[in-house]
Amino acid sequence: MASVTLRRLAKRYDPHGRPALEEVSLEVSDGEFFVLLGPSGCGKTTLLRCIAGLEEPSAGEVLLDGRDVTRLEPAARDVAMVFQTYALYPHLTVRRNIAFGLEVRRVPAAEITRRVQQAAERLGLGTLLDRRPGELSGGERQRVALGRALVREPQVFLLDEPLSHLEPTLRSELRAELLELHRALRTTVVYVTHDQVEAMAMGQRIAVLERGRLRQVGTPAELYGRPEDVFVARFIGNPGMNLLKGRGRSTGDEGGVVDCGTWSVPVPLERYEGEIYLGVRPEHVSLVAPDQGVGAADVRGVEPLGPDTIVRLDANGQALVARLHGIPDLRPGDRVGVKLDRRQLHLFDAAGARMR
Amino acid sequence: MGNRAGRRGTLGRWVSYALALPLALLMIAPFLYMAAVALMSERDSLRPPVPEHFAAALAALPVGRFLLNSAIFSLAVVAGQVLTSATAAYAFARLRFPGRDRLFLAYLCTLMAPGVLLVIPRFLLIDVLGWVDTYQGVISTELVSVTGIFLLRQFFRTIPRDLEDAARLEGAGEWTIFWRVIVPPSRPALATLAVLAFADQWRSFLWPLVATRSSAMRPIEVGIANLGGTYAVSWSYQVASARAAVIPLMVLYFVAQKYFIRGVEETI
Amino acid sequence: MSPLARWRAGVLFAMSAGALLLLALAQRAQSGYERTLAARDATAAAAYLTIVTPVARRGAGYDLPQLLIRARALEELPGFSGRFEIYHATAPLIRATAPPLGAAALQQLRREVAVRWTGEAALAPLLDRDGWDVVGAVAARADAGTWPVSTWSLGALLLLLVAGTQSLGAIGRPRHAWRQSIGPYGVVAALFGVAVFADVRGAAADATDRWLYDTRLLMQEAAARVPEIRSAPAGLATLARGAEIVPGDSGPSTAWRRAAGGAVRAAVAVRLAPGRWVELRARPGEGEAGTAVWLPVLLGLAALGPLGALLAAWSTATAPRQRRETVAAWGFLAPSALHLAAFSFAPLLLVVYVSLHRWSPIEPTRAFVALANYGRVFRDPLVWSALGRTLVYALYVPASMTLALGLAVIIGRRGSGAATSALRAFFLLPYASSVVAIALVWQWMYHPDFGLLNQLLTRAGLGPVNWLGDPKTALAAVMLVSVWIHLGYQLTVFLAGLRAIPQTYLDAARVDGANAWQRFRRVTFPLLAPVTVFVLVTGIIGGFQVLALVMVLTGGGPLGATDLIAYHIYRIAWERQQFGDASALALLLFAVLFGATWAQLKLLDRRVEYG
Repeated sequence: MASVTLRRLAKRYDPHGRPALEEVSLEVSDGEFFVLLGPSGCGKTTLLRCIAGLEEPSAGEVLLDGRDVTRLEPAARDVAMVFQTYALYPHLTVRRNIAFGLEVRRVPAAEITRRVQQAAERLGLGTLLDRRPGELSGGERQRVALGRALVREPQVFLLDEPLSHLEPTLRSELRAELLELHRALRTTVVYVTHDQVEAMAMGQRIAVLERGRLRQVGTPAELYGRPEDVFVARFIGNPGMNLLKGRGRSTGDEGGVVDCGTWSVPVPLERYEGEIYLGVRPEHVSLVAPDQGVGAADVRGVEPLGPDTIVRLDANGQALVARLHGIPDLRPGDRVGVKLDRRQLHLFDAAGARMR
Repeated sequence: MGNRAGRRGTLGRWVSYALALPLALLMIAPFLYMAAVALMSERDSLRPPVPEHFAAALAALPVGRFLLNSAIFSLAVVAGQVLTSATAAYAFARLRFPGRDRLFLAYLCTLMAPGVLLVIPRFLLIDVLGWVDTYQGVISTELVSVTGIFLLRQFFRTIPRDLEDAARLEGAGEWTIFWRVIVPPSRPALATLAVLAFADQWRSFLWPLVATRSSAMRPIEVGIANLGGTYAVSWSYQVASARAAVIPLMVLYFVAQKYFIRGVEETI
Repeated sequence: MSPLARWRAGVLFAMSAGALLLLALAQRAQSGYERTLAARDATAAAAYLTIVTPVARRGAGYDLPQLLIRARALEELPGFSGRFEIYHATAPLIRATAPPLGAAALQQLRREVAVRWTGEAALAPLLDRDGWDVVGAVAARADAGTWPVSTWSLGALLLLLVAGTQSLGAIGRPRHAWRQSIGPYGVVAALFGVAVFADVRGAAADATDRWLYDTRLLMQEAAARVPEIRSAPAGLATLARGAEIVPGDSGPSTAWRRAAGGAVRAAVAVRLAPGRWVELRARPGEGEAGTAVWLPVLLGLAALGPLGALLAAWSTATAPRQRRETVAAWGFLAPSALHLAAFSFAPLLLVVYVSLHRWSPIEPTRAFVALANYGRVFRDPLVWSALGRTLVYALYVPASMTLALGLAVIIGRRGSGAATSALRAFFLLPYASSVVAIALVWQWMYHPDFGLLNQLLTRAGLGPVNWLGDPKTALAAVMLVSVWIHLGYQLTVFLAGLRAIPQTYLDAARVDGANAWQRFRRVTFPLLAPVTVFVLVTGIIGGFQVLALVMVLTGGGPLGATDLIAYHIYRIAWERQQFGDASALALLLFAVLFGATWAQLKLLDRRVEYG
């Protein structure tokens, strides 16, 4: 078991193009379940492959347990990886697939048998050992891939979107199983996903990446409750945070307002003039009579989900989403008043960074 | 509506087969002709009067020796081409090294050299080595097939890179990756190459003709070739020899037809 | 020692080894020529003594005092470069104080009657007048050789030192830095190799010249002493062993080069008597592969330093993983790369070389003729008619393609998988079978009296046709067989092409109201265009290489009616044994086919994207 440290890691594939990674520094502590989150193309898989040693970083260092492994072969790093495509050898049985890494490392046959058996039991693969990957379902293949990583007893597990090819119910089931496994093994895990729900559900800490840059690192509660910039604010949460563009205006004695069209939202703001983003999560928006609240808006769409309902609104030409309890009696075209929870407002400057 | 369309479709299909079938029969007519001659007695076949018979044909020419030589050449060439093509194709498909694409282009350029051009210097070469009229003289020039490298390279590129990365993470070196991760799932492609290489070598004519002198070294294609050109030799003699050359290929074709077809389709 | 220092030390070693080995080799080559010269001089001097020394009055041996005089006179010959000792039996004649010849050495000479080496001297047997017995020996000392290289080479060596030091310093620096210094180093190294080669060549030429000069002196001396030789110079043949004596004119005393019988010869004019001249001719030591073999060896050694520097610079500037991958890649490529180098690239160079020479396997002299072979095949009307015929023959490709495409469209429709593949199996049968066997069978199908084709024609009342025997029909008959062979291949390719066209396009066209012909014309055919171009071009290129079929089916006849270009080249090479002409013509054909393939690739660059 080990910690993973990245120091100003950068990767460029094309010397003239946009870098895939820009000076990413991170610290994953020993035994942590760490999630790399970001939209596709953000560099999270590149980052994982740099840790594995499958890509050579253009600059920066990778440390495992304080040891510099940047120039080391993947095999010498003692990490195991589960690929998005599972990468099971199609010509080998499940048993041989799991045993492959041990065979290559010339582990004695008896030891291999014992460890494969152990991994198979842990993952419930006992009856599948003599089948080939082509005969397995998606979930079973996923488990075999996991078993192949497990049997190596590595210092760090690297998982690259391991659940993305599975159907939703199976996915949540395996999510729980993975967490169970992590609790039992206490091995460091670096987990890549583009699904923020998965990230929030699994990660002890989450790093959000966008276009090769690290946006924020923190616990799920920190990311949700205190996003560092508009990207994280929009990306975390479903739907993401509402961001209303407006102009901030100071009214003296620790007070201020944000003007969005006809609305004037009072906010705690000192000495600020200029463009500003006002952020509020959908659950902190409530609907009242048209003449109440901070202003009026038109209902554009209503999406009842069961316990909640998503209401899409047009507020002075800006989109605003509210998440209401139950199923309110609203129709597109209705005019409603909007109330924002004043304790739950977020302010971002024109460049998108969090204020205060 | 759907019913009508279906009926029309069936009808159209029958019409198309009615058109294609006679042509297909025409295609195999010479083969039937060849087979029929062996079965027909001397008298009722359409042929010039001949004194010899099938057995006599086999006795006059060392057909057995020809066939043995053909088999030796073909098997050696198959072994050589599969091995060299697989390793080279792996390097071209999977490994990164400076000058890779230019080197591959150079490989491809050799494909464009006409056979009749290459036989002259190659003959001079094996002459210097003292290999004229020997097995190694015929075989040595054919041990690498750029077509084979191209074919396998195409196939190797379809194998997901993740498989290779997984093996690398587990501590496998390049050779282990090649041998245990790339080669096993490529068996169909290797089989295609083997079948094509075997058939091509069996049919190969110009080089064995130039590189051999004695009938003890000649493969069947060259051995029976000088029966042509004149009508001096008898009908059954000629057909019997042709059949001896064709039968092994036909057996290979019917056993491994899908590899032949895959080989043809892979060339585009 | 750091890795960088290790690399530098290694490169330094490779550099010095390359340069020193090169010099050592040059020295060795030159002393080899000196030894040859010594052996030849000794042989010539022995023959000279045999001719000029009178026989003793009693016995078979020479008159010893006369032999002594003749031997000493050799020393005084003006301009003679040989340094001799002459032994009568084992006793030295010229320098009486010199140690006698070993008895064992003389015995050996008696047994072998050939030049032997004792230390630094070549020992040629001195025969008696009848040539029966070895009565003594002539020892000629080989020149130890001067400083092996000329000033040119020394200059190149100096440059090499500078460039080498530069490159050594560049190892470990960034890529563009070492590229700049190793390039010139390579050029200088090649220059050095060539300069040393020129020295070696010069030494070989010099050795030949001195031998001819010495032989000339001895011949003139013999003619002066033995009058009957003047009218019968053939008597001097033993003196000029390895050269030929031909009638000649007056000329300078030093050897010159002249072309004779398609080859360059070293020659010298010998004056036997006033107005009586002969010419002494020999193969020059530097010509005709005499020294050519040294060039690749010397250049290879010269390349050792630059290659080592390149490897070291690349290795130190490259990340370890890439280095490892490159080494692995070359390991995987080694078998095929070496094979192609030996059996494809080297032959391609060789064939260019052959095409510039008059070359025949039955004739040993291979004269350089520049582009004469090209000119000859270019002007040969038979070549042009074979080319034209091949173009006509290649028309079978579009013909059979039309047939194949039609077939592919009618049998390749949806939902008929099994039947289609069964039909395809029939069509592909000829393609999978043997060309020679096909040719043999078709020969009988085409038989004027008994062939199946004529049996049918006769029954239909159309009379027999002598398909292969009539110049008017023979080419068409060959084309028909070619269609028969290739139809299945083309059909298979078209079927694959059709399968690759997404059905949605055809469905969309059907919804838009296109009928079957319009769907083919507007959708299928344009989308098949790349496949069609590919089949057409490769088919025509294949047509230019057809050989076995015509060879067995018609032998190019009748009256050359089926003499296609590839077969024509084959016959120039293997029937007329004119490798030079055949190589030139084949190279021209190669250039044309290469151009055609290139054009096809450019055409196919605009591949159809299914979107």
